[in-house]
Amino acid sequence: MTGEILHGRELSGPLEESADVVIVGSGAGGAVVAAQLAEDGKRVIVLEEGPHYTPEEVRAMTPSQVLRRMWRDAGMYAALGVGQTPVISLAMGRNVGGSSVHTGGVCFRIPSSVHHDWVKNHGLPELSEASLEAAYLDVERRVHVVEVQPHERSRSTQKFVDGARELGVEFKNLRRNTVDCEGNSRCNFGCPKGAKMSVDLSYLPGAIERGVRLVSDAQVERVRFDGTRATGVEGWLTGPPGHYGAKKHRFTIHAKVVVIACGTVHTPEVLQNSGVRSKHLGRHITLHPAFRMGGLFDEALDPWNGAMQSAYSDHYEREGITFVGMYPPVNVLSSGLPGVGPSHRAIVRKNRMIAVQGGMVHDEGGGVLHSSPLGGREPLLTYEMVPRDLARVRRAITLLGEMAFAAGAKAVIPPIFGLDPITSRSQLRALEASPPDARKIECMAFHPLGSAKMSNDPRRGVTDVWGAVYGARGLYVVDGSVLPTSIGVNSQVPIMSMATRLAWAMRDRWSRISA
Amino acid sequence: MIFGAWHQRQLGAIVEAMLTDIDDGGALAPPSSEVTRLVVEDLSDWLTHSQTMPTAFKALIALLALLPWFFVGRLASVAGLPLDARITYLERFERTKVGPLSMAFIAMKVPLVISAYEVPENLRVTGFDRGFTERRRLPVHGGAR
Repeated sequence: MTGEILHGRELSGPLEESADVVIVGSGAGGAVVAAQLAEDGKRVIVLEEGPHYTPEEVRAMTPSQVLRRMWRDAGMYAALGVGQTPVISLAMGRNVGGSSVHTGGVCFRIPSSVHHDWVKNHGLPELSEASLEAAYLDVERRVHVVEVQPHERSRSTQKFVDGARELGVEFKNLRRNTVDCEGNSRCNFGCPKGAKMSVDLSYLPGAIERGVRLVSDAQVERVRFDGTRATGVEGWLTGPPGHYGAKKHRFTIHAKVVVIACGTVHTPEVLQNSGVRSKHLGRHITLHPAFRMGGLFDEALDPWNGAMQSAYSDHYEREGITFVGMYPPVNVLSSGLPGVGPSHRAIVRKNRMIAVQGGMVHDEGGGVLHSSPLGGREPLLTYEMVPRDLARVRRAITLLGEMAFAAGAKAVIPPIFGLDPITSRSQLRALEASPPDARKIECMAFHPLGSAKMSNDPRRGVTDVWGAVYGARGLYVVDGSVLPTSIGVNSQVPIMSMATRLAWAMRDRWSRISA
Repeated sequence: MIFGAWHQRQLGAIVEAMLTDIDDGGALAPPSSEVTRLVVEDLSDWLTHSQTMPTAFKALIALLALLPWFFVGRLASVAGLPLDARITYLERFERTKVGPLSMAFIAMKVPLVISAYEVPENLRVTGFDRGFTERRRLPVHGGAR
């Protein structure tokens, strides 16, 4: 079989092919499984709903062009808050390489405490820290994980690091999957240097050299079955950008093994359309609700110069709070600054003096997927933030403000819609003591997890600990949806490592699972 | 263009208010009609990349267009307000204590501002020293910390 990328939008008729394995999704889960199984000699077809853009094409896009062409729902997908819960903007890639193309490159392993929880409290000894060690090492080598050095930090991040140190809070160097990062600070919107080793640059080229066929613009509707045995998938080749969801031609892929790797928000839809039933499917979703804090200084920081993400603090890990440095493109940051007309212009002019720091909370699974009431491609995700997590968000906002003031900020800009900059610590504490409506908090998420979680008991999960869907043969899930709980850290390397572990298990059991 | 004439007029009025500055004499200085048109057209193009957002945004525009009475006591659509009253109205909308209303305003403001500040003359206002697709070089600040 010849490896290549086929642009589904350019095909002029129906497509029907056969392979050993068909993988639905080309992101951190699907690309890794594709590469691993291709290296073992399997004939692999990868189907990606989104388009394929070359690194050169991505580099030539502005941030809004990346949002509209490569992010889910034109970059406007959000979890609908239930009760006192903010609307949470959810960043997900819809392109070859999936969300790995849109990360800040941050590479964490799953914390020891989480592995311990899975083993002791969830009865999953197969998911111990030691069980993933070899997979972590393999992933970290392939995607070139390196430690960001302090001199690569932006002055934005350094301000918060300095302020935190004054308060006795330590920040550490992040690890990221980059080669020769120049510090352009726009990793989420396509690195102009091509320095970030997302799976389209790390895993997929080698996989295609080994014969993997990747079809972009291919939206899978359902898994095909012969009895309980998965035999392939079928769906639609879709239209070009600007015709989101337009269906052109049918496709059918026959395969011995089917791997679903559409991500937490879309994997349940494919499984449900295919007749998989579980009360856990599409539920228990965790997001790591995240937010930013601005610090306004009286000096030019040129905060856009430096690695977009370079330092983190787990000082408050026990409180479920992690701080991770970040700096978005200046127009994206400006969109969250308060004011209209002259008041907005005045603060936009101060962008050179605004440092930004991010935080996220290790949340409980309050997300549930539903069919969209408006129709259309995207399912509706509702999310109810438990009071403990809301308190954590508010606490973290205060802590970030304290850090900014300790670093000499003249004012802080909390992530509260329409709130003017705060100029004193007492105002900041008053904000936590008498908080505004939670729905005024500017909140985002990048790590949806857990909608088809693993368990050793079919009554408690959708798949077993090897990703095999209960009640079906030859059907696997390999993406963030299988993680049993929130992990409290960026999920890129954890998903890739879990995918590696599951791919190795498929390889070792091939004769049994493909029969 | 996904918007009809009425939605275009209301959205144009919101864009104009959002991008209004103060000139050297202290008077309100709205953006050029060309910039306003560019932003409206760009938002329209952006929304074509989603199946549901065109409908959602038309509803948002209608919401923002029809509530001046509640925030500034004027029986007019947002496009019917003079510029200074429009700015006051939208500021009050953003600052309202009613979370869902404030959030609705932000849902409009975010793509509008992202799009508007990709227009070179607006991007220059931010102080950003290069185009979005251009590169820079480390070291960041000499390691002299």
